[in-house]
Amino acid sequence: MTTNKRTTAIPNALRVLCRALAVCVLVTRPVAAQHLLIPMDDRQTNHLKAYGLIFNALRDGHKSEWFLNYRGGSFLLPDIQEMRRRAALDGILVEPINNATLQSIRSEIAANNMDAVALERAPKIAVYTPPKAPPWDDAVTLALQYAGIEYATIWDDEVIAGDLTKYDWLHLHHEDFTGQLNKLYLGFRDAPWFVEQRERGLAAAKRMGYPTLPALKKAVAEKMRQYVENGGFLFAMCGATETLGLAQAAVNVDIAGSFADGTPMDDNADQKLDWNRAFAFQNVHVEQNAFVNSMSDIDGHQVNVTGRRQPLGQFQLFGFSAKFDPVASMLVQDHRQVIQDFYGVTTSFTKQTLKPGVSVLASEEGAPWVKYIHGDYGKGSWTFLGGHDPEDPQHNIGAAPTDLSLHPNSTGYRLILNNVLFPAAKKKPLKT
Amino acid sequence: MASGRSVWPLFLLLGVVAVSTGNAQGNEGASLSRALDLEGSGKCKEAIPVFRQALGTTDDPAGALYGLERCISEAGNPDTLLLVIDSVLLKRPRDPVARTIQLRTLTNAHRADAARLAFEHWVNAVPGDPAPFREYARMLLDAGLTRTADTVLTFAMQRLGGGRQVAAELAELKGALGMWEASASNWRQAMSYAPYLESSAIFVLGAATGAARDTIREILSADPKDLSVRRILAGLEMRWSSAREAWNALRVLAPTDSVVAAWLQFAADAEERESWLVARDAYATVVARQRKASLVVRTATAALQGGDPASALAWTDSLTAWRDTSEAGTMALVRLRALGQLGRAAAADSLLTARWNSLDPVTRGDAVRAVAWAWVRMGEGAKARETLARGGEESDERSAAWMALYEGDLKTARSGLRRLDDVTSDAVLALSVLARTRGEKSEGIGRAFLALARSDTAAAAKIFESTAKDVFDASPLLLAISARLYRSTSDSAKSEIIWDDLIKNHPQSPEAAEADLEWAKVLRHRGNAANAIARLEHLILTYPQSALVPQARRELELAKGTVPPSSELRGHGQTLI
Repeated sequence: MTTNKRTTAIPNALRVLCRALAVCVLVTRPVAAQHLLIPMDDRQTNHLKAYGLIFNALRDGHKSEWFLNYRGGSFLLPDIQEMRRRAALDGILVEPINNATLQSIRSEIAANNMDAVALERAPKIAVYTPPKAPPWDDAVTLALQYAGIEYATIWDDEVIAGDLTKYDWLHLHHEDFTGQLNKLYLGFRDAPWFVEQRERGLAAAKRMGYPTLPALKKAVAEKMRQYVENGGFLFAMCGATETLGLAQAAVNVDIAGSFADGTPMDDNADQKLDWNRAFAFQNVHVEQNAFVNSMSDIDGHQVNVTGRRQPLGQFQLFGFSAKFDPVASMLVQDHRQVIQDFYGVTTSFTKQTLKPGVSVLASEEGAPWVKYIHGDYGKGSWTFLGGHDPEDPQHNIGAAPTDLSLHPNSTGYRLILNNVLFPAAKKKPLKT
Repeated sequence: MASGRSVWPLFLLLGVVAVSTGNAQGNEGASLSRALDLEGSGKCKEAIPVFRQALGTTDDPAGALYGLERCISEAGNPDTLLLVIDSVLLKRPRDPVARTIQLRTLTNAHRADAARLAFEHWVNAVPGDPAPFREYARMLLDAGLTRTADTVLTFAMQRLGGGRQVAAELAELKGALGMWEASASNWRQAMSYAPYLESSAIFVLGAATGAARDTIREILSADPKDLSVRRILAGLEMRWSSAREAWNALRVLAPTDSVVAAWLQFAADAEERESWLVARDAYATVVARQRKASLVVRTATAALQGGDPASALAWTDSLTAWRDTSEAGTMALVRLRALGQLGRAAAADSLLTARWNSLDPVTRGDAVRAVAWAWVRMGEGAKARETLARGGEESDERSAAWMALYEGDLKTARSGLRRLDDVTSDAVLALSVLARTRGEKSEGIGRAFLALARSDTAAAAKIFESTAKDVFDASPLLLAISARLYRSTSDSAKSEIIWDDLIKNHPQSPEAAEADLEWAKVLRHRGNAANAIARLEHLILTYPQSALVPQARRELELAKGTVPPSSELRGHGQTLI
């Protein structure tokens, strides 16, 4: 009996103790997080995939916020199991936070040069790229592919057919809109890839009723001008920046060498160019020599011209007022402000050829060129970033493609992805 | 007499000329040596006037010119060098060294127009000579100026009546442009006058991928079979495919002296790369032409190292048939080891007894240990100890530890193997198993390792799998080993059953994450990306702290196609875009 009493007494005591412990646990257990903060400073383990996480959350109907200038341009997402899952799979650092922490972050944002921009819906993305081109040819498709962001590819047929209106955001890379195939004729005229490229272009021109490739590309450039004028977002890199401007301005003048269209370039091309039709440039001198691998004096680095090539330096991102100039601020969000420069067919933009209203987002100190520019045109806007591949500064034809899993924190690629996400932002009227 | 007298002044004159020429040559040689010494001791500035002095007193200005180029370039003043070169060219307008240095200096200084002019002067000074075209084109290619190089070579073909004499430069240019067929044909042509460019050809053509490789193979393997061309093909196969394919490219050549020398060199290279069986075949082909005991020993040793003891044994037999005793000791050792690997410990023991007196003490000691080890691998511990005792050798720790393991005495094996410097894969595997279980005896583990020692992978896989049920604390590890072994025998179906078992029934073990990863790799290579992705996602989400997560993420990127496939990760670019 004694034994029995003891055995019943001990469980009772244990039960009381357990209840007390349970109460303690309930009281002291942290309140479940309501939000996920995706920091974009040096703590972030995969900056590039973080953009994909946000893009896909928006695509799935979730809301997000972009905290400009807060911890490298952090993002906020609702704390949903699926978001945690995706972040874990992609190796993205997320910090679960509760309302109190969020409130304190908002206070910090309010008190400093920071802002919270609501991101509402994933933009529909189109990349202007030749059919069957692998995604590794172009820094933007590399970034989109790596970040897991969906995009459609379009080419001349679709552009001429008016399909650009289906998309919110258009990207161009190293396409030569002057129709001269980047003047690679002399060196690569017999290279199989060049022959294929030229024949494909000529066949497309013929199919669509244009006499030459330069004529087709001018028509394409005009469609792109109209796309931006009507409210589209255009992001161009490398040679597309310069040649798009030249093709738009050359609507009534021949700026292509005879190897491209059978007729020589107009001797007075410089005087005849109509820069009102172009986004960013004016007063440009077109390179008249068909055998000098340069299009004009827009590019400051002239990488493919011996004797003119300028060495690479570093470019610095400008700081903007997040509250007064959120668009420019979004485009320069990064965890570093000074970035190693990288070559491309067009690496930079000379200051002397920029239109007065162009916003310079990044430039090299003391250099007569800038790297990264933005502006509005009609109802839309455009952004140009010089260079080919931020993680392959000396990119060569035929060089191995960049494997972004080796550069998950690339500061240069972040600039590209800022552009992808920026059309998702809820429009706020400028306060200036 | 008269005639004798008249000859004396001539001798005297010749003597004076000879002495003065000797002095001049001596002075020139002394100046050049002094200049080189100054340059060597880092006094380039002081070396420059001495090089110039040497230049003024010589008929062969090459050494002084090269010295001046090095020293003046270091000082960063190309104009000074160009002035010197101009003065040399006034006297020797055809001098190839002066012309080359002039071109190089102008190209490096980015004076494209002046370089082109200098090139044209050189071409006009030596009509019909390919040297100016070769040198200038090579400099332009090195500078990445493919388009200008193309123009120069097109010009060369016009002036020289074809591209044969500039084939190497054309080959390099075409390679830079990705025109592999033309490049391979040009390299083939270039080998007729510049076989020393073999490694350049391998470097350039090595960048080709996919179908282009087959085109290159076709061109380089076409008749007539030329040694230099075949060596290029062998070099490419070594890079693209395997040592076996490389050997296939060479072995078909007719056995001239230089071909046999090339085979011998290839065999040594294959040995160096540990492509043992290819080395064996190459040596065997040489042995058919050169009956040397030392080559037979290398053939048999390569066979043994390559895991083909039967063939090693056959080679030792052949030497016995020749009655060549020059390598008897070494050959006996190879034979003993081969017998041991074949599980013929008794035969090895008999051979040891038969050769006992003919072996020197060092070789005898090695032979005793080889036979003892053969007994160990048979699981015959007593006989192994007996053999060692016969040779006056102590039972070494290695044999004792392995013997204990094969007998299932895990405790002794654990303490014995830990003390060894044995870093073979078998030893690492054994230590990992012994560290995982606290058990002191396991007949199953012993049998499994013995099966491995006998190279019976299939049996070992089965025994590891069945033993996993009995050795509870090491069960997941034994299953994982079993799955690995099944996979190595191409029985992936069995591996997948075990991986599934590991993931479901041992989810907390470290082997569960490994099972996910290995399974995903098999699925991805089979083209089942969806299931591979599911396995990898399971790994990353279930075992976020696992050391395998970075590998899993990499596999996940490849399975999803979000990064370029490894086949794309090659480069051959020249011109920027």
